[in-house]
Amino acid sequence: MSLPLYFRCVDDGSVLVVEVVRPVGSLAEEAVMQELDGIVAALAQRTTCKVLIDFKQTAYFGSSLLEGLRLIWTKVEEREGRMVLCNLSPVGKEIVQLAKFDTLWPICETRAEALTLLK
Amino acid sequence: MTRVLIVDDSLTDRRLAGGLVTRAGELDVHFAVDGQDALDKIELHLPDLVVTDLNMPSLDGLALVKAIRDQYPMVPVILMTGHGSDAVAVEALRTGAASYVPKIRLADDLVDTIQQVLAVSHADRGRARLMRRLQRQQVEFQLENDVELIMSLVQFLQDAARGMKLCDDADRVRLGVALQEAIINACFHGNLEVSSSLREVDHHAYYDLAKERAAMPPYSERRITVSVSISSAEAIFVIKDEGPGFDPHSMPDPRSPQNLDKPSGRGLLLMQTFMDEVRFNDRGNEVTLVKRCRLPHSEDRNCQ
Repeated sequence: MSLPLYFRCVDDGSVLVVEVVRPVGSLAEEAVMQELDGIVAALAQRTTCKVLIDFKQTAYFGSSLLEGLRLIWTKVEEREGRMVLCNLSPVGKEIVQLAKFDTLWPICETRAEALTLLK
Repeated sequence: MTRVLIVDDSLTDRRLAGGLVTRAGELDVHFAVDGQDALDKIELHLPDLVVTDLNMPSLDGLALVKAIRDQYPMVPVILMTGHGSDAVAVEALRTGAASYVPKIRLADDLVDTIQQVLAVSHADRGRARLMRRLQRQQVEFQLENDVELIMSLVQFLQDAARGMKLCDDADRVRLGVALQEAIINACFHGNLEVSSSLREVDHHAYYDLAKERAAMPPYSERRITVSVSISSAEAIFVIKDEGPGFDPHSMPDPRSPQNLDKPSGRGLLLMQTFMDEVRFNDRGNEVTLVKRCRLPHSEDRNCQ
């Protein structure tokens, strides 16, 4: 199994933590779509559908990553789950708020805070 | 005269290193007993070079390298390493140290290493002085529909904006996001003519079509032209594709609740938010992005 280039998944009990490890240029990059497909498949196998997206390692992103998150969210929503974002940089927070995605996904300052909210 | 600061908590090692450096001539040698003492002395009188031990009380060599890199990025640091400290030396080099010399090889290698590092540092300072006098950069790129090239170009343009002191770090990130959106749009929607409406139905179909077209004429023959003019007052980016163009007014507002689950319009929204001006030509295959400087420019910018 190859190492993830863009999204590292960590199982934290009832929550699937997805760490964004580098900026996503476009979903056209094969590895990005493969990894997103892997996350969606992993969600399908879980009994509870709670996802935490951790941006600690990525200061900025654009519409491509938002689109990727929207793909994950579609599956989470289907299963009446929840998705929370944490560790966003000021610019990252600005981008999420600008696209109004903060109305769907709560933003927490830290991972611990986000996990508490989800659990 | 070139000023060298030698930092070591061992009097013997300070004397040894100091003696070697003094013998090389033309160097004004000063001493500090640990990292904190070194920072105090650097604040009083900026050296041209620091030579430091790794293991010291108060503030060790690694922490000193980090502090100098943050506060005095033009001052190079050479490490003197003891036996068994190779891993820390590698870490220090990653952190920003210019070079290192094992203590057992000080007599043979220290002076040569100092001279090499000073030569590079002198060239760096000369370049930095020259770049402070740069008034305008004008460049033009022609790219294939290749995401990796696009990402590299965005990084290059962000660096150019930083070099011209056009914006602070946060604004440089916003600039990068807007440019990335504009050039990716030119590639996918412009040259490859893949529509976001396909993405609403099936993501894989959207990207499979893009991949197919990237290798198929006439799409594959189309190029993205990026013309850039950057001064310390403003940057103008003109991004042109060779596709049929589009009507930017036809884009839905991605912030409307009914459009939150649709993939269209977010790129344009980011461009319009993060740039001071965004305008399209009539055909809709060329976008001009303008970013203006909001930083107060130092009056002595050209005098250092």
